[in-house]
Amino acid sequence: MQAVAQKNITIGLMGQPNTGKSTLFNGLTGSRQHVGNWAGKTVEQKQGEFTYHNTTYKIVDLPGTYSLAANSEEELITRNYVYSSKSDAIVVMIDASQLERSMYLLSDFIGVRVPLVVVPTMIDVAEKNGKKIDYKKLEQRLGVPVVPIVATQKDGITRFLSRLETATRDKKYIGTDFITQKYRENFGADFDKVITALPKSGIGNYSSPWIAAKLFEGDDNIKTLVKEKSDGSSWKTVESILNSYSDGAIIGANCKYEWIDHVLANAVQVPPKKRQKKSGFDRIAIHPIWGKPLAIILVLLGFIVSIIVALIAKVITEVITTLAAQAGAALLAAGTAPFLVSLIVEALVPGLLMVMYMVAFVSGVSFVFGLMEDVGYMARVAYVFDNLMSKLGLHGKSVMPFLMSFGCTIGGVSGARVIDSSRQRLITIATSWAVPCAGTWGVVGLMSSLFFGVNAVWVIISLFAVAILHMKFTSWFFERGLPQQEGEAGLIMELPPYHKPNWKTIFTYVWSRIKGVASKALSVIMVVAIAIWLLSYTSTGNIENSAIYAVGKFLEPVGSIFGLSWQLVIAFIVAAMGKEAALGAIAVLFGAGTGVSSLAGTLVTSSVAINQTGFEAALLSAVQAPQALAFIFAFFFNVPCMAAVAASASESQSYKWTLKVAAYYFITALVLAGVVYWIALLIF
Amino acid sequence: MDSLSQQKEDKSYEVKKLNGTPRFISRITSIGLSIGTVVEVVQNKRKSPLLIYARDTMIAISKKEAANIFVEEV
Repeated sequence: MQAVAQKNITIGLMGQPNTGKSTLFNGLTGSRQHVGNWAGKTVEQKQGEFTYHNTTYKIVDLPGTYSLAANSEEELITRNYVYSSKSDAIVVMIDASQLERSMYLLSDFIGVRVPLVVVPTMIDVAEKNGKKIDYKKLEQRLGVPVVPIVATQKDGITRFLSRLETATRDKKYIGTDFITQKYRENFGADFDKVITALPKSGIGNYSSPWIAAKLFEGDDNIKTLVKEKSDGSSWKTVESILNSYSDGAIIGANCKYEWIDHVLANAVQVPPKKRQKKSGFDRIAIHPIWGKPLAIILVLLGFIVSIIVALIAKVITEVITTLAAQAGAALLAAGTAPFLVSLIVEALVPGLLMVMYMVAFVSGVSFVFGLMEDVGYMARVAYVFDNLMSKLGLHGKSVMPFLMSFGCTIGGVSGARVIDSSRQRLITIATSWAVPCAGTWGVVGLMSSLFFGVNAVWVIISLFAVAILHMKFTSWFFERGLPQQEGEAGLIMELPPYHKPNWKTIFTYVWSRIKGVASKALSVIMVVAIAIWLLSYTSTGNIENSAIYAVGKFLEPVGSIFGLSWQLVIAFIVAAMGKEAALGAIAVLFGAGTGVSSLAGTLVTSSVAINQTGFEAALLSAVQAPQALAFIFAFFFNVPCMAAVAASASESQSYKWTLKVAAYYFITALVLAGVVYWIALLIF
Repeated sequence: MDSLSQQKEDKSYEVKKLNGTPRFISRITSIGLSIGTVVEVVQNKRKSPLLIYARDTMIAISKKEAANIFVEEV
């Protein structure tokens, strides 16, 4: 029987990127975690719980950050948490193998009034590199608990918990004497003048010396805060002093590194400096030329893995589809209303199966990308593709989701998770919709060869050319709408050392992706599938008796501006359901496809019997070349499919933003079709 | 004193000066580069960001950013 928890403790978990934060988080909380968004933000918030000695610990996983600066949305969130947090303690993780650098974040906590627990990780790596670290001495110097752990070992966690328990009771802070003295040496009497002008008790959890140091560093965010909280005259005093320090940020950083040196003196023995030799793999991975094909090959392998996982789901779906068809026939024979059978067999069952297929695929993608990220390879990809991707205003890592999108947009959207900045992630998701997925080629291949013969090559080339421009425009378009310009931020990124995969972290990650995607997919896909079914169901099988026919006919005058007849208008709308389903839908619309009683039924691709010659003849007689070209463009750049929409909603945690992207693609696809149509009219 | 972006592979340099906005200074110092830090150039190829090794860490820096870091050979 579980003991009744009596007390609640809140802990913030912080650390520089690559310090093993998620490993500790998963080790502590197991499956008791939930993912949401920070209020009003697109940044993911992970929280978890665990119980220890009758106390419930709520643990907040804060975005990884190199310091308490506020240069990105993630960093701002972390800092605001520190500012207003009522946490009982903040756990700061430091990397023992890169102690000097990773303690910088810790140095930014001097003067912040939140109790700390310092957790050195990677202690095995540090030992292997010949570093001897005296953690007891470190603890004495810092004045707060220091609990080194190997996050994968159970006893490490237990020891951490008992120290955490005392830490939340004792509430210890890092001593401020040394660094304050350093600030005084560098900024002279001005440092104290600024402190005197500030509110005596500080602001929020920030003490006035901490605020003063940040002001000298030129932190705009803190300037605004101080301006708000102090009276006009004292702000004027502060401002006039600060004006004469243009290099305060450099001085401040040096003070912090001096403090680090002071803390580490005689506590760490480092062997004579030698850089780790580049491994054979890394030689290729970071090679300016060979690094790129390597990344492409690995994505391809990843895609194959994902497809294999998805194929297993596919086999199951085929069986269920057959069973559903048989069940449908049996229901009809038993006198069940045909529309009800159609709803089940052509909308509900295929919708559910699509969710299943999608979840399987996403789990494959998440596993492969999660693994690449965990072992440290992904940063290398970002490095070799930085030059190319920065032309699109994107991070080098964006190349992975883009490559994945050639296979399937769902993979691209889910794969965007590897990008750390939420802002860059959203832009990548929005842009990856423009990458043609494998499903695109069925319709594009058929129509372009049917109407343009060998010249289809030119159609494809122009599609790709437009796609590149489209992506450039799209990334620019969606960048504007997002909060806080990161501005001219070029690449400054750590390439973490390679390490063995931590399977628990990877599988927890995959599981959280599955949960996220499944719930969103279920709602989005079912709504779309049922909506299309409702619009297109006919008892006679004749599309002209359906509601969507009326819609298509009604929109035909508008459609004709873009070169689309009523059939093509409907095909365009239905294609948003799924590009693979579109071929069957077009066949039905042109009277060459039978076997379904609704366009939603085309989701079950095998259920449409297509009369190939009749289909081609019908298309050629009803559609002119300019119209066909317009439709190819409209189709190519349309919303990829409802599953991609669902995946985007899951990744962005925002239906509103996802709908915006969908509307954008719908409209730009039509506009492009229109432009192509009118140009084509001049040519043909 | 030359900018880090033009330096040779496999040589070590000491950071002497950092130019740029407080934002840039904050990003570059928090990842480990401050005045006096010794950095080793691991890779410096055309059209690729620079790869350096400093404070036990491999860091990739775009050429544009590295142009604002001034160093002397040690």
